Amino acid sequence: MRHHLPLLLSVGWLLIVLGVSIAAPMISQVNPLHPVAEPLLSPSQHPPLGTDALGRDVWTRIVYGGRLSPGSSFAAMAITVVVGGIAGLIASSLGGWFDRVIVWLSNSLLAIPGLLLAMLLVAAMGPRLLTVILAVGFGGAPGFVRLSRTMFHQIREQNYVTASVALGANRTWIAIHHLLPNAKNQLLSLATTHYAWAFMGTTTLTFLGLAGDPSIPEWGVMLNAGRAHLIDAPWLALWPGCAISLTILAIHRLGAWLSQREEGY
Amino acid sequence: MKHRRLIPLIILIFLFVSTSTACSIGTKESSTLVYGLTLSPTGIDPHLNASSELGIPLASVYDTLVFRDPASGEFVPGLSETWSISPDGLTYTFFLRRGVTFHDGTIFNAQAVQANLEYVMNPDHHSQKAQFMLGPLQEVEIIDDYTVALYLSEPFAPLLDSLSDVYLGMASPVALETWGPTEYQFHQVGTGPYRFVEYIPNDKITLTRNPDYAWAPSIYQNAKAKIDTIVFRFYEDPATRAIALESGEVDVIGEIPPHDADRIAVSSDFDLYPIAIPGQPMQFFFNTKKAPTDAALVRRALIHAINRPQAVKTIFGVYSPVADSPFLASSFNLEPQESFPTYDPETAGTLLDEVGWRITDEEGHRSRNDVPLELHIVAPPWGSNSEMAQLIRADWEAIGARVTLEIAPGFGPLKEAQAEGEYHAIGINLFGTDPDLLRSFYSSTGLYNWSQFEDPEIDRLLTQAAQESLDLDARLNLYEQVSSRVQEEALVLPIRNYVNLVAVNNRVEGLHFTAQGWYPILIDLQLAP
Repeated sequence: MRHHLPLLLSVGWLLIVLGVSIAAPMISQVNPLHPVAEPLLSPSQHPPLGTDALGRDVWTRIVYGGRLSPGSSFAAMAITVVVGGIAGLIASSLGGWFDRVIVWLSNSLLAIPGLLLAMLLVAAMGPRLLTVILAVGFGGAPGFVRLSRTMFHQIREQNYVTASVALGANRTWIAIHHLLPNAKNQLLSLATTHYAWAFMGTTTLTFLGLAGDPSIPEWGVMLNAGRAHLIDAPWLALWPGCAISLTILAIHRLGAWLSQREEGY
Repeated sequence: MKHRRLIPLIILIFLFVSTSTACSIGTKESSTLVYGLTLSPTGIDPHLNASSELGIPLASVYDTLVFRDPASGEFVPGLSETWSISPDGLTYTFFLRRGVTFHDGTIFNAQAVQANLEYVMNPDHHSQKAQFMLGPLQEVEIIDDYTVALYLSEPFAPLLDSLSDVYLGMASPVALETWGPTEYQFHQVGTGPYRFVEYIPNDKITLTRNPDYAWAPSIYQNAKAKIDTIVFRFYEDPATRAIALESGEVDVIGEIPPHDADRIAVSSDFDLYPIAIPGQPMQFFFNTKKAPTDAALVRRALIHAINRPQAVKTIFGVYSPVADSPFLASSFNLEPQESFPTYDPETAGTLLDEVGWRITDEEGHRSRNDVPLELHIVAPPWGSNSEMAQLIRADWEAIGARVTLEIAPGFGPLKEAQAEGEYHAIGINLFGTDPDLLRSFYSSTGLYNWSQFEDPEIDRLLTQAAQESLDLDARLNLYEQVSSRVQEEALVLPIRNYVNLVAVNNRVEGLHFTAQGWYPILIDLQLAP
């Protein structure tokens, strides 16, 4: 039981984030974009978390940030998994020429670090939260193609797949009836691990101001705004910083547990 | 065995460290001041580039034909001892000072003036600012070695002001000729109290004192510079500026964020100088070519909706006056004629109701004929414009508009966003000591006519004012009429008058600034013993 404590804490934190973000309008009645009090009030003067440089309620912004940050990185992760997974599946089941092109393409894109690729994409599409999501999603895809392709390959090597081939099953049938169902669990753990990367990626890009609109209650945006007040109002960077770190840690722990379970520990 | 190899390495490191500290002690004895700049310009030749930042070092490298007294705004002799303006305002004659030499030994004379102005006006050099400051200048004639005449095609009142600014500082004609427009910025030669040593882009600009300087204008207190070397370094990230000062990295630094300024102001080691900058206030132009801001009543309502005193206090603390006029923040004491729309969300609502933008849903959003009231703000990234735009957004949402906000990541993207025309309000302002600056913002064909308002009356007034070179009162009266017209049409939302918060290590004495506001008078600086 004790050895599951970090996992339980992680799942607990993620459930809290999920619950709070769903119930955001009930938890805080004020608008996260509008000033509510004097700027830079400390948590003791304006409970629970103080006000930011423009006088907005930090607690409300953190709560609404629980929607934007995990939500947008979840969308980015989904893009990566769908695009990378499908490309890996195609490469693995069709083999030959398709395989070589897809591997070559993902290898050459891997030469550029994923985050840099994402920044290039944002630069081309203009700074918006939507482009950050697309950029992190597609930026992570080349790496994911490699992982999923290897995974599908391992399944293809199994005897039951060889048996199906011997019985005359075609590639599509094998992909749908063997590869995908057997990859399900492994894909889930890969996706969870990748979610942590996507979360880091989106908050890094929004921290760098690539979300365009500086008023959105997003944890990376808030962290950047807090940076200017590290001396006079350190809590402005502390809250979103903690939220980001805890969420990434929790997702990582969950992903690690899923992959350990997959490997039969 | 491994340790034995380490010993020589450690000795080597020791030697290196001890020599480098010895070096730094050496430079401190020959007085060095480090000045923090806030923007790394793309080019620093004042004759060709337009950055305000370049004048901070270079205003002391160059002398100008005339200088402008920061207190009175009057023109005082510089490299020109006297001057005369013909009654028709078309000929300016300058009688030059004798015995002035450039830092490279070249003699300053009428030929030098001609070479400088022709360098600026050469269309191949693509001067971004200086050539426009010369207006309708046609020809420069050398009357004799120390007399030069400038002929204009039409009267141009801002000319003396232009000639008092660093962009038309007098450079050595030999250096201009030797280096040409691309290389000259790295080898600048003037006649000023400081000599240009080197410019390493994104790293530093170094100046050293000119021991031969003997022609200080009356606006300088000292006859010769006291500090031997001044190094300018760049601190683009506002969050690093106060820290650079407090850690001793720099002695002087401008554009401190207001919340850091509070700390500097009460510190016993540092002083804060809030310096008013002449030019336009922080402001947002309404797009008069796009609904709903094409209606003057809507624009007026939107101005009423903004709590400007509150917003200025939130972002700029106690340091900035609220701007109530489209006019220059200081130097020209033009009073707004009618009272500017004050914060009054109820009136804003009534005005919007009058023109049909009524509240149509439970959340208080307004719409007209099922079209929602939508506004898009484009703000530049610098000088707290992005924070201000967030507060404007909140105030406009409070009266029922749906607002989107876009921060253009630089001047290029800002101009692109303007050209696309999808904005309802856009932030832009420039600095300058002459009110003719307004022409590029409010005349129909102005480069920064971002309200896209075309009004023959404003055009006529601005042209006439620019030509009114002899009667200052008549000229100011014309600008006041422009002001009334601009306010009547509610073309612009002025926010705050610009104040540069300069923070200084209190070992630095004698800091004051030229009429342009940005440029320190370096000759008068000294370090406390």
